[in-house]
Amino acid sequence: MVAPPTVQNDPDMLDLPALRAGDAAAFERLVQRHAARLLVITRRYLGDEHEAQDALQDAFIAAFRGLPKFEGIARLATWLHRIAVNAALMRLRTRRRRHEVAIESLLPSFDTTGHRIVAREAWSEPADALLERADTRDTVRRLIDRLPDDYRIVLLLRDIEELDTAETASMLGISPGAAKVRLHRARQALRQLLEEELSR
Amino acid sequence: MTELTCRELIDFLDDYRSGSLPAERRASFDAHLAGCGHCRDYLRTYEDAIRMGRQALGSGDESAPPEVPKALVNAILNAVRKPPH
Repeated sequence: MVAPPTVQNDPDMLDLPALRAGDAAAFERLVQRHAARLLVITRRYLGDEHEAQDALQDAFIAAFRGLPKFEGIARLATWLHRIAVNAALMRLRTRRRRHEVAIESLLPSFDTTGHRIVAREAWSEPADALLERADTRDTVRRLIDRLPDDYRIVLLLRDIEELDTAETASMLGISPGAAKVRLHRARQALRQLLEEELSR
Repeated sequence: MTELTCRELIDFLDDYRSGSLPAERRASFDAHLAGCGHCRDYLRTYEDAIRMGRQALGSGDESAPPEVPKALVNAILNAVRKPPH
């Protein structure tokens, strides 16, 4: 069980009364402490640096407005993280879609009897060994970025943020069933892209 | 027990992995995997892909900015100082 935040285990708690009261100096300290980490999050969702910075600004404005009601049950860092993800998702909803590869082209294909058509051998090197290579993490990030937004975002929310299906569905305004299907397709597509990359 | 196809196995792979399939259905997945090397490879690499995604993005080693641009910090602070309309 995660320990509740206290002044001893969470530096933000010391400032919490001032933050709730709208104290500008305390808020500036909050921004200085968390902005870099949250910018990494908004970048992860949006890719574009300018949009990521705009989403970060949206997130801090939302946090400032929400602080008087922040109950302090979760860590402030966790609360801010969630707000930053939401701000990035809001920006994603309004932006023009990128040129995206069709998800169907990244899903397995089957013959008429339901047997999978295997185009190439799967990689055999263990994932741990692959990840020890300096360039593998960059490769995986690049491949995740190639997924269509609808699928990439579900993958980020479920596999990276570790939200459950119901939370993910709620954040995206879709049914839990649709969230499950999208996650499975996103994982399949990432597997496919990795196979193409690793078998070169 | 009806014989499972690769398509059925892959379509319901997450249910199999999460242990949410009924016992009889799970047994048919196990039997298919025991006899199908392609599907064993698929399951292994599917799980590898999940792990690699988690490691690549979840380990906090994405290229973090050395510092957030001062202009951005100032824009944030100015935005919250504005009185609400």
